[in-house]
Formats: sequence, structure tokens, C-alpha cells
Amino acid sequence: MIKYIETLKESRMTLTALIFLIVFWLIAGFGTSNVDATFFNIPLWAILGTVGVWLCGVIIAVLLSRSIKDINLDNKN
Amino acid sequence: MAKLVPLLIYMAAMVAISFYVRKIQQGGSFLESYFVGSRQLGGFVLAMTTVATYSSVSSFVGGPGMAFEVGFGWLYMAVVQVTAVFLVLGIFGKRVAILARKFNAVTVVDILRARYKSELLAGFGALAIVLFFSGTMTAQFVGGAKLFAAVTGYSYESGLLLFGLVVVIYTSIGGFRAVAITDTCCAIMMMTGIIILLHYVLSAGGGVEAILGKLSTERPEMFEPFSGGKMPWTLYLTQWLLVGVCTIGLPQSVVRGISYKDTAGMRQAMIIGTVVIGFMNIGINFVGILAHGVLTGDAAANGGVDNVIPMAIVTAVPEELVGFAIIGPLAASISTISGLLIVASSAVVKDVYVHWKSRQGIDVAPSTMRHLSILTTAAMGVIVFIVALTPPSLIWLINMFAFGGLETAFFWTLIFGLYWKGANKLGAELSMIGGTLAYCATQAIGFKIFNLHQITIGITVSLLLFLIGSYFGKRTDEMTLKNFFDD
Repeated sequence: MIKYIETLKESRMTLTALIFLIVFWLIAGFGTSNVDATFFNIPLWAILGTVGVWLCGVIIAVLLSRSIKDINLDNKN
Repeated sequence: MAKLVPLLIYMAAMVAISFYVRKIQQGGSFLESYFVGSRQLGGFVLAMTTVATYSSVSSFVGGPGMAFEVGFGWLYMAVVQVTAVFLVLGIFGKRVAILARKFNAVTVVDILRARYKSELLAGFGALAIVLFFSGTMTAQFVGGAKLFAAVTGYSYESGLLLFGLVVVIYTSIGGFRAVAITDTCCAIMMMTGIIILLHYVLSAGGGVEAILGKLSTERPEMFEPFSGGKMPWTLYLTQWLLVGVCTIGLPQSVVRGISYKDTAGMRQAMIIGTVVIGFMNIGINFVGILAHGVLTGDAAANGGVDNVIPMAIVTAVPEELVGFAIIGPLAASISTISGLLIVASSAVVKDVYVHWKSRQGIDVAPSTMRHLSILTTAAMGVIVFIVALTPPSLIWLINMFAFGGLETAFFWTLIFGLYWKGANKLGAELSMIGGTLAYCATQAIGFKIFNLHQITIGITVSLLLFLIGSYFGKRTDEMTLKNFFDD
């Protein structure tokens, strides 16, 4: 039961992280599309909506990775 | 011929790896060793094989071709794929690994069979894997061979023969572990290919600022998220489902959860995989936009969307490096084929044949199992290879159709089966079969709701049928629930 509850908790955490990333994606891209700023002629919304989302994804992966507990996977029936 | 040398060396290395892997494979169950690499994958290889199997030739040819046509909106949509690795490992990685060890499961269908105790479900699941994977593999063969022909000037058939047979041979001989190691090489070559192409496209086009400055004057809509109507919100929404959220239901991704050694490796793979998949998706699609610096006119003027990257390679990359530059896109093709081929083969051998024999009380001899597995993998590869000799049109659509079909079939049956005690046999059967049929039927007649891709219909029908079936169906027996949830 402990392992099941642990994986359930971790999957909920992953789901929450996904929702956060979706919100970030919306704000970073669509949310800044009216801002008239460019970098190397790349619009700001495109930088935040792509590289920004990627970096956010990596940070999420690091945080999730740290939150997931190491367990013994073997448990023969 | 000289420009083919790097590619030939690479292909020979892939085959050599498979022979080496076969040689060092010893001890333990053959099926476990051949189909899931004896559950010994480390973090780096797990990340690379997950990304390489997921990233297909469409990601390297069709996708950037669309970015060339559409602009930054396409890049913004493609980046949703950064979720693919952390999502599947975070939700299913540990759970699937625990259950697979507990039930000696080698395939995703093994786990579903143990959970729902349904032969119908297991049979349909195996059939769905074989059929949809065959579609995707055909698309990979065709895409890779077309790319080869366009870049090298050799015939489509010679390209197909070269890399098609190589991938079938190394997958058949080395099994899953060879697939994982060659996938790792492929992922590294894909990234190298992107860097090479980016470098030469930028050099030939005069740099990012020059290329995009000119493009923003000529095609300003390419710098808007909706791309002058080419990127409607419905497309963003369906892509979030198709290549984002629902990818956790893809059996070829979930099976990676059965194959790794320990949770430390899985945690490491979540990070490495997210870094790599983001780099690939942003990198190659950005190259697609920058290709305006070396090509003139729109995609149609360059032979269509699928021809943009081959044309960019031919135009921008020095001739002596062309053979090296195409390894990346071809690696995307062969890594997806090998990843799917081994799972499709396991569906036939383990989910159908071995299970059928076991029900008759017959144990299949290890030597028979060995020969059968290798022959089945080779036979399936050859069949798809033959289909690809007369290439079907609309490769991109075949690929997406197969993706949606697999997600519809497995998404809810896996999520509910592994995390909801109330999920039962009737709900799972109705969901997988009804959802898949609804998806295929709406695809066949072209029916859409709000112009959304039919994945939305498939996944919704599948969910509703699951809930209805679970409400009216018989509750799962206590022993099964105890086995699945009391660990």
C-alpha cells in the first residue's frame, strides 16, 4: 500500500506540474504576443514561448526528479 | 559514392552493436532479455531511447518544413513536446516498473491482462499495437527513403534497402537492449545533425538577424502566434492532446518504464530526456524557419513541405559533409522503427503466442522462443519494408492517425487501471474497443467537432465508455485489487 500511495502522490505531483507548464506556456507565448520587443529579430513572445517553456520544463523535471523517492522496485508476487 | 561513406559506417556500427549485444546477453529469461533488456537500462540510455523512439522522421522533416511555411507559431506549438518524457516517467515510470516486476510482465499488454483479467482486451490491445505501429513504421521507412533520395541523388529504393534492412537486422538480432543502445547513438547523431545544419544555414544565410530581418518584412504573419490564420487555436489544443498530454498512453513510451534498472536512473532520465527533447524540437524547427536564408519562395516552390530540409541540406551544407548531415534525420527514422518493431514483435510473440500456449498448459521451449522472437521481429520488419516499396501518400497523416489511435486505445485503460480501484473489465473493454472504433470511424468519414482533430472524439468516447462500463460492470475481484494496490 505504501508504494502505491507513494506513486499516486508522485503522479499527482506530475499532473500539477503539467498544469503549471500549460499556464506558463499560455502566458509566455500568447500572453506576451502584444509586446513589441525583439531579440536578434526574434519576437519576445516566441523566445519566451519556446526557449522559456523549455527551460521551465527542465526546471520542472529537476524538481520532480528531486521529489520522487528512491525505492526498491522488486516485490515478487 | 564518397558522400555515402559516413552513412555506411554509421549503419555498419549499428549492426555491429546488435551482434555485440547478442553476444554478451546471457542468463535470465530470454523474453525478458530480448524484449525489455533484462530491466537493466541506466538513466542516460533510458532518456535517449525514450526521446529517440518518440522523435520520428516527421519531427525532422515534416515538422521543420511546416515551420518554414508557418513561422514561429509552429515552433510554439512544437515545444509542447517537452512534456513527453517527464510526464510518462512521472506518472507511469515507477508504477509500471513495480507492477512489471511483480507480475513478470514484459509488455504493456501483460500488465493490462493482469489488471483486468480480460482476454478480449489483451487481444485487442495487441492488435492495436501491431496495426498502428505498422502504419507508423511505414511512414518512417517512406520518410527516411525519400529524404535519402532527395539529398544523395540515389534512388528511393536504394535508400530503403540500405537503412531499411539495416534497422530490421539490428533490431531482430539484438532485441531491446540493442535498440536502446542504438537509439542512444541515434539521439546523439540527431543533435549533432541539428547543430551542423544550423551552423551551415546560418553561415549561408548571413546570420539570424539578417535572415529574420528580411523575413519579417516579406512575411510578417510568420512572426505572430496565429500566423495569419494558419495556426488556429483548435490546432494548438489538439496538438497539446496529440503530442503532449496523451503521449503518456503510447505503449512504446510506457514500455520504457518496464526496462530501467532503478529509480535513480529514472529520475536522471526525466531531466536528461526533457533537455534533449526540447533541444531537438526547438533546434530543428528553428532551422526550418531559418531555411528561408538559403531557399527562395515558399514550400511549394521547393517541392513541398517534406522537401524543405533535404533542400536546405543540399543547398547549405558542403558536399563532403552531406553524407554526415543526413545521418541525423535518418537516425530519427531508424530509431523510431526499431523502437516500434521490438514492441510490435513482443505483442505477437508474448501477448499472443506464448499466452495462447500457456493457456493450453504448454511451456514454450527457450530455443523455440529465441528463434520465434527473432523471426517475428524480422518478418514484421520485412512486411512493412515491402509496403514501403510502393509508398503510400500522406505520410504525415498516417503517422498522426496511428498516434491518435494508440492514445485512444491505451490512455484511459492505463491511467484508470493503474490508479483507480473502481476500474473494471467491462469499462476497460468498452473504452479501448469503443474509443478506438469511434476514432477510426470519424477519421474514415472525416467527421470533426469544432474542426478539432478526431483524437478529441476518440479520447472523450473512450472516457465516457470507461465510466459507464465501470459503473454497470462487475467490480474487480479482491485478490486482483490486493495484488495491484497493496504493495
